[in-house]
This record gives sequence, structure tokens and C-alpha cells, in this order.
Amino acid sequence: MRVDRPNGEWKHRAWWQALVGAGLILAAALPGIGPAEAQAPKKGGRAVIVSPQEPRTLLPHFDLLTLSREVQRLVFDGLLTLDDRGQYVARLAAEVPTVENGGVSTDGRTYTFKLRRGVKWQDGTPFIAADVEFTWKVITDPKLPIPSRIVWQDVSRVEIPDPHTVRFQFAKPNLAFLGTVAGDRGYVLPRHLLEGKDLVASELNRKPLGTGPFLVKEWASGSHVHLVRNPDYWEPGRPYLDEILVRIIPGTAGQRAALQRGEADLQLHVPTADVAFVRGLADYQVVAAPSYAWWHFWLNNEDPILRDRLVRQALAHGLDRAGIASTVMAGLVPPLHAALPPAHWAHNPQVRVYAHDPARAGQLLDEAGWKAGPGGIRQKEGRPLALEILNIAGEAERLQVVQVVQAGWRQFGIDAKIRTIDAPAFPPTMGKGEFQVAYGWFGEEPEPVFNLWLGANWQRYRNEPALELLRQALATPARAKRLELARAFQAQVAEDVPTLPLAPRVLLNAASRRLRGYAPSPAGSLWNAADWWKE
Amino acid sequence: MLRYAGRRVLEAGARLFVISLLLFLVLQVPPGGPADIFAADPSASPEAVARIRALWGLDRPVLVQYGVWLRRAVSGDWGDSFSERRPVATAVLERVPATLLLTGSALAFSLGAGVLLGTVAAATRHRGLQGTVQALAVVGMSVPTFWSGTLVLLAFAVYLRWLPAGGMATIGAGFSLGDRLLHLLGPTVVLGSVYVAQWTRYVQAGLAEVLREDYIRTARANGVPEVALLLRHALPNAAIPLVTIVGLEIPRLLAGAMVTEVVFAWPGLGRLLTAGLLTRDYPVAMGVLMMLAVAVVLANLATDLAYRWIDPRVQLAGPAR
Amino acid sequence: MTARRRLRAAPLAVTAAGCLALLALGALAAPWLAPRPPDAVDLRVVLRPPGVVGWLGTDDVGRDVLSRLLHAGRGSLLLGLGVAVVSVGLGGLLGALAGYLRGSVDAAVSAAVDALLSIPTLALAMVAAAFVQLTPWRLVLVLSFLSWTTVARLVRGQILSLAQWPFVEAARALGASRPRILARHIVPNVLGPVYVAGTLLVAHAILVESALSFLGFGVPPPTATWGGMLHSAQVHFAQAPWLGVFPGLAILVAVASINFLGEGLRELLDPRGR
Repeated sequence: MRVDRPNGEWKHRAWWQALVGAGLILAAALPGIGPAEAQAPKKGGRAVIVSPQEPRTLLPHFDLLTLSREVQRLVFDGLLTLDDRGQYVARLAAEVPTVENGGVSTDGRTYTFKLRRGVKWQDGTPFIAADVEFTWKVITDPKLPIPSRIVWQDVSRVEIPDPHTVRFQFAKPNLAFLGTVAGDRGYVLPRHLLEGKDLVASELNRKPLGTGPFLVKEWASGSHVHLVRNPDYWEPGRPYLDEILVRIIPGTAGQRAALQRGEADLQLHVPTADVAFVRGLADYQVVAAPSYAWWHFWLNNEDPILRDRLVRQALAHGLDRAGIASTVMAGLVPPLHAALPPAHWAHNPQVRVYAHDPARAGQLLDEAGWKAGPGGIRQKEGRPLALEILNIAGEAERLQVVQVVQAGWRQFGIDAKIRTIDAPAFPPTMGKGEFQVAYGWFGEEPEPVFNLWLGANWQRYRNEPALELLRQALATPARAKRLELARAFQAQVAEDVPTLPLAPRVLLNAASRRLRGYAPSPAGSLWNAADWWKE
Repeated sequence: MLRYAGRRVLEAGARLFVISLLLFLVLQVPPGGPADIFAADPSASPEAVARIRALWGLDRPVLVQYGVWLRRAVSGDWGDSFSERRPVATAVLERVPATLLLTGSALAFSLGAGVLLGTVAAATRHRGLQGTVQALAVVGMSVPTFWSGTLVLLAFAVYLRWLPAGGMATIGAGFSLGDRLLHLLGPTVVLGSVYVAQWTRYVQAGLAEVLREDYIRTARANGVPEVALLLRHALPNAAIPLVTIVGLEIPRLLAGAMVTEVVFAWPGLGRLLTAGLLTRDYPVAMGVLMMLAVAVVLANLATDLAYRWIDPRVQLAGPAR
Repeated sequence: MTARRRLRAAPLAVTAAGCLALLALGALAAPWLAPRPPDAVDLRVVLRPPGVVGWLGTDDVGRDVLSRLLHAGRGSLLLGLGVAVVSVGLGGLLGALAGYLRGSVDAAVSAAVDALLSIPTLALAMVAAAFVQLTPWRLVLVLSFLSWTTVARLVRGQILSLAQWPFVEAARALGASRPRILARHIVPNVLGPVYVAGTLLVAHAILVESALSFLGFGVPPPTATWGGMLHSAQVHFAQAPWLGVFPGLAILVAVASINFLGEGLRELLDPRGR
């Protein structure tokens, strides 16, 4: 403070300065009063994602491989997406259609999407409603090898009143459409590049072009996919990152090394066996991606042996769900008894539980007429109780589970064998019914479509009254009523045991603490990659 | 020499022809024949399968089928990959340099080490050493590369962190020779170590025999220093049979390279074959087989010509026998 | 040099033979020797280190590693022997025909041998395994089909050289029939190198089979094979190294012993050659 005061100003200013200064010091010192703690996202940088498998194609809708779909999300957008809390977020649509804003008709048969303006494809062409209509045509084209057309194929008509509005008409009320549109079967394809061309052989499979936040710069087979920022992305200021590098590292040793050296910002699909290792690393955390999928055994209900409910119930008693969940799945998931996982709102926690009880299983088999036979294998009318468990090759965990189950069933006299098949051959084999027991996972949409029972029905469950419950549920708009019907169905299915639920399926990822904004949702890990930034 | 080369080239061509027949027969193994292979493509619609039947003449007699297949193979049309959605030839040729690099460096490493150790062993003339070398050769041949490779990877890449854990280069970091060499080190040593002792053994035995020859003793009596003797006169002569032996081992070396590639995530033909077979991408698998066959035939041609080329020149260096 | 003297001069081969005999005995007696059944899953003792539960630890579903190792050894050795027998039979026959009949038969066989030798066995075996559902027997057949070539080449070469020997010509001059010449004069001289080749084939078959299983193309689980054990061990290698170390070691010891035996036999029968 200055001593000489030519006029009263100094004194004023000095006091004022002191006050402000004191105020600032106080503000900084007192918690909650100071400026906001949150850091501003930093622009630039590169995120390295480690993937155990290579995507097969980057053109959406043709491939079932989860990793293909994840990477496609970086390049393509859908009309909507799902955030980490399971809420719909508008992407190419300007807003989420609801009954309130008129986007969804009250009878659930019409969906109107107002499209976001100013969106451009990565080659500069404007995005318009005709692209959405084209995508629907592609998905429902019977000549194209689209693995899954459900919900899309129920659309009876698509209207384009103007270039920025699309209207979907359904013959019957459909409640699952928004979920489909928001998922990885909802990406929009560029009409101007693909119409009239051979999509299967298109070069867009390797060099895709979408409306998404990133462009594919290079895809070196067997090694990596290099993506760079889309400077004309419709969301201003996004993406924050300059580049994303998807490194393909199939071996667990290579994956571990990448994490140990801090070379990866995210590892997708961490095997259960590596969870403890990741937890031991200070810079990384294990993040479970929310999913509505679960592991289970399909039983072929038309098989002569499995036609008998007592046999199926015996198999259920012979399944050590708790043991498998705590060892093979490292205790990361609880055992599952219902036909829907606990993460799903329609899950019924009160279904009949088949405790792991080999003695009881043996009793049930005795009741069913399968008596002890030579070599410890049960017999009925001279035929041995032989079951073949179909398993998909390539994942150590699947094999572990199947081997445990096989050994468990052997304990009470079932001659269980394992047949391994590779992934592409699985759906056709199941479709043709050339199996007895099969192990795998199934996923439900946020708004259930019950495809497992009403669509594929590989287990060939023909209990019509039970299936009718599901059909009613699909036609009822009131959620409470739907929940009731779904629960009733699950209770019935727990009695009939057409399938053997095992445990929820959880996808684990290892995320670096330096990577901010990562929050996996039911729409995958990369749904909000545009919002990621690195410290 | 030129006539010799010409004849050898023709023979190589004939060999490839017979191999093509063999591969064509392999294609017939699945119950439905080649059509079954295409039916495995999940994207194959009935029309697409019918189109392929017509294109490949699958409804015609076997001999015609072979002709069609051969013509397409020679013209470079090896079909399209189911999973990668591009021509098999492109996918396969892309991976060839990586496998060549690995195999070549493993060969260079093992030959270099083998010649060095063999020469030292022969020079010292220790009896026990011969036995040890022989024993090590057998052990080296018996080590499964997938096991030694995994151990090396674990020890040096995961625990000690001296080596990178697989791949050909640190991606996105631009080209750096040191980085590439570091990535090459692990797989090269693992693959090459199988053969080091073998080459050592051959070189040592060959040298021991050559050193007993008259002309060597004459040269030594004439005062030629031992080192020059070894390097300029004995070694080239002893190395000649090695060329042929290396040629014979090329298929096994390639097989070892394939396994090593899987362990070290090296983006070569081995990884491609494994991945292709696991996803039932049979055209890619057949393409890799064809490429391997071509590689072996070319390598054998090269060693044959090299042998012939070295031989007269070296024989001129020694006295007439 | 008498045979006994030769044996004493090759202590390595003798040790190897002894080692192998032990291994073979242990493996073949696996059903009685193994402490637990190889498929006995026990989720309470998953991934235990050696010494805690079993001598060599337990695997990811609680099975005893030692028991699996022994049973796998049994499988591998039997497979190797099977491949050797079939290959020698097939290769010997074809080689003999080629060497004795010469002409177009020789050309055909030689061309086939050449073609098969030009593609790495492992690659062809992988493709075959992918096309055909593998059972242990089918695997023996597949590997034999790819291995008969070395024996054929050997036998052909021997016969070609032997057929010109004086005593053969003498026998022919005396009117002995072809089969008789073959059986009484040629075959005994060919047997030696064939034994050696057969022995080395056993080792080669075990290596190829384990590589196949490691890559995921071998006999399907839960049959225990050394390569298969290594395949399953990959995911757990860092926290359970014993799962991978022991099967690999077993392969190394078995294959090396067989190879030493083969080399020793070679020394025994033909001490001049390398």
C-alpha cells in the first residue's frame, strides 16, 4: 500500500484491492466456493485401443463380429445412440422421438425422425433422408447376406416427406424400434456411394465412409487400423482426439505387455484370467460394459432324449452355476436362473432355482427311465444316455465352461462329449437343428424383442400358451403390463427348462486413467469416442 | 551354366505343375468338394453359389475343373476372401514380405552362428566338442518353437521388458530401423536357434574332413597361415553341401516360421493361414498353401543354382583332383 | 567293431534310449500310474501351483497336470508310433515299387514325393484338419499321408543302388524270381535305414501334432494332448506358468530322446555316414 495519498483515490483503491484479494484468497481456500474443479477437455492426442481380434469388415450390417461393429461406430453414426445410463441420445436425428413430441405415434405404429441439419458425409456430400431409406432397403434386401434383420423387417413403409424427415410405418405396434435404431444395427449407409453397387465386394468394406467422428486412414491387415479426426464432424469442436489407433494383438502376452508399458489407453474384451493382472496396474482400471446378454445352454427340445422334461431338469440340477461363476468367470458375475439377465428391467428374480445337486439329478433320471448301465453310463431300452455339447472354437473360457459341465454331467451317468465348431458354422448348424446341447450367449435389446423365443427359436420350444405371453407383451404399450407378462413367461420357462441359463455375459475392458470420457454403454465401448480426451 | 539354369527352371515349373495337382486334390477332400468350400461363406446367397459353380465349372468333369482351376491360379485369380472381402492374391501377397523377412533373418542368423561356431569347433579339434555339438543339434531340432517362443516372449517381453511383445514395429511411431530390429530379434532368435546347432554340426564335420585333405596339408607346409587356410580354402569347400541341406530344410523352416508368427503376432502368412482356417475362409487358406509351395520351389531353385555357381568356382581354387 | 563296442562308444544314444523307455513306460502305463483321472474337473482346486495339490499343479478347471501329462504322453507316443508304422508301410511299398519297377511308376511316385515335400507338412495338416473332423485315428492317417515321402525316397534310393549289386545279379542269373530276390536279398539291407527313418518319423509326428494342437487344429478337447495343454495354457501363462512349462518340456524330452535314439541307430548301422 502506498503511503503518500495525493487524493482519497489511493486509499479507496488500495482498500478495494485488498478486499478483492482477500476475497479471492478466501474463495480459493474455502471448498465449494471457488471456481469449478472440472478440467476442460484437452484437444488433440491419440488414443490407442488394443483389440484381440481384427474387424472383418468396416461396412455396417454385414458382420456379426462385435469388434467389427465397435470400430464401425467410429466411422458411422446412427439416428440415435444409447448412453452409459441406457438413455437414448440423438445423433443423426435432431431429437429423440417420443410420444410427447409426436415422434412416436400413440398407437406405436409410426416413428418420425427429424434429421439433424448440416451433417455431411466424410466426402462432403450432405446427409439426407434418402440415405436412411436406402439403409433400410439394404437391411431388408433378401438378396444380401444380412445376418440379422429383426425389427427392420417389420417396417411396412418408409416415407420421406422432405429431405430432412423420415417416417417409418409399422403394421403392428412396435416398441423395440428405438432400441434397434440406437444399437449397432442402426448405422446409416451412404446412398450416393453404394446404390446400385455390389455391397459385398465394395471397397467401402476396407475404406469406409460415414458421417462419424473419425476417418479410416489406413487398415494394415493383421496389424492395426489407423483412424484420424473428421474435421467436418457435425458436432462442433468434436472429436477432441486427433487420432485413434486400433492395434490388433491376439495373444494375451502381447496384450499384457502393451498394458504394462502404458502403450494402450483401452483394451477391449479383457479375458477373465487377466482381470487380476489389470487390477494390479496402477494406471488402469477394469470397466465392465453394460450388456443385456447372458451365457446359456440351448437344449434341442425336439431331440428324443431331451424331449423329456425330467431329463432337462436333471441337466439343470447337474449344472454348477455358482462354481463356474466363481472360478471360470472369476466371481465377476452371479449365477443366473432366469431367461433374462439382472441388468435388464424385465428380469424376473423369483424364478425356480435348480440347485447344484447331482444326487437329485440322478433321481430325476431314474424317474425318467434312465437306469444305471455299463461303464457308469445310464441306459434306457438298450440305448446309452449320450449327449453332445456343441461349442464354438476360439475362446478359452467357453471351453473351460463346457469341460466343467461335461465332467459334471458325467458324474451322474451321462456320456457327454464336446463337439467344437467354428463361429461361422454355428448359426446354420443351430438353425438346422443338428445339435443336442449347445453353449453360447444371447443378447436382448433394451426393449425386448424376444428373438430367442419368437425368432430363431433354435431350442424349438413349442409351448404355445407361454409364447403367447410374449406375443402379448410385444403388443402392449404399458410397461408395467409388459413386465408382468415377461415375468410370467420367465417363470414358466424355468419350469419347462428349454434352455439352461448360466450367468450374465459381461464384457470387460481395461481403461487407462489418462483416458477421460470413457463410459461404455449398451451400445458398445466406442459410442462416445468423439467425447474422449487424454490428460 | 545357362543351360543348367534353364533346365532347372523347367524342372521347377514341372514341380509347380504337380503341386498344383496336389492342391487341387486337397480341394476335393471336403464332402461337397470345392462347392462345399464356397457354401461355407456366410455371405453366399444361392445365386452367388450357383454363379461360382458355373465359373469354376463345378458341374463339369474333374479334368475340366482342374483345367479351369489351373488357368485361374496361373493368371493370379485365386478367388476372393470371405472375411476380408478382397482378392485372395492381394491378401496373401501383402503378407509375404513379413514372412520373408522373418525366415530370411532366421536363416541368416542361424547360418552365421552356425558357420562361426562350426569353424571354431573344427579349428580347436576337440573331440568332446564334436559330441557336444552333435547333441545340441539334436536338442535344437527337438525344441517346439511355440514353446520356446512363448517362454522367450514371457521372459523378455513381459517380465524383463527388454523386447517388445510381438508385432513387426511400434505402430504409429514412423519408421525406425532400431525399432524394427528390436521387434525382429525375438522371433529370429527363437526360429533360428532350432537350426544353429545343426548348421554348426555340418560345418564342423565338413571342415574336419576338408582339413584332412592333401591340398590343405600342402598349403600348410608351404607356410600359408592357419587362419587364411581355414577361411579361404577350407571353409568355402566345406560350405558347399550346406547349401543343399539348407534347401532341403526350407519347408520345415517355413513351418517353424508360421508357428513363430502366431506366437509373436507377426503379420505374416502363418497368422493369415491360422486366422483363415478358423474363420472357414478357405480360399485364403488355399492361397497361402499355393504361396508356400511357390516359395519352396523358388528357394530350391535358388539353392540349386547357387550350389552350381559356387561349385565350379571353388573347385578351381583347389588343385585338380 | 562289434555291436557292443559301438554301443559303448555312443553313450548319448544309450542314455536317450533309456530315457525314452522310461517315458514310454510311464506314458503307456498312464491309466494306472496317473494319480487322478485326466478329466477329473474340480473347481475347488483351480490353478494351484505345483506341490500344493498335485506334483505339477492343477489347470484352469482343477485337473491334475501330471495325470494329464501322462495321458497326453500316451496319446502322443501311440500317435507317433501309428504314424511311423503307416508311413513306413506306405512309403516302403511305394518306394520299393518305384525303385524296382522303375519307368513310369518311378516317375509318378517321385513326382508325388517331390510335390508333397514342397509344402510344409504343418500347413497341409492344418488345412486337412480344418476340412475333416479329426479323431485320433484320422489324425494318424492325415499325418502318415504327409510323412511317407521320406521313407519312400529312402527305400527307392536303396533299392536302386542295391539292385545293381553283384549278388542280386547273380541271383537273377540263377533264375530266382523277382519277389524272391526282393524278399531275401534286398529287403534285409533296406531295413536298417528304414528303422532309422521310422524312428525319426515318430519324433517328427509328435512335433507336428503338438504344433497342430497348439494352434487349435488338433484332436478336440477334452482329450489331453501336450500341444493342446499348451494351447489352453496360453491365457493363463503369466499367472500359472507351470501349465505351459511342463507340457513343452515333456515334448522336448520325448522328441529329443527319440531323435537321439534314431541318431544312435544310424551310428550303429552305418558308422561312416553322418
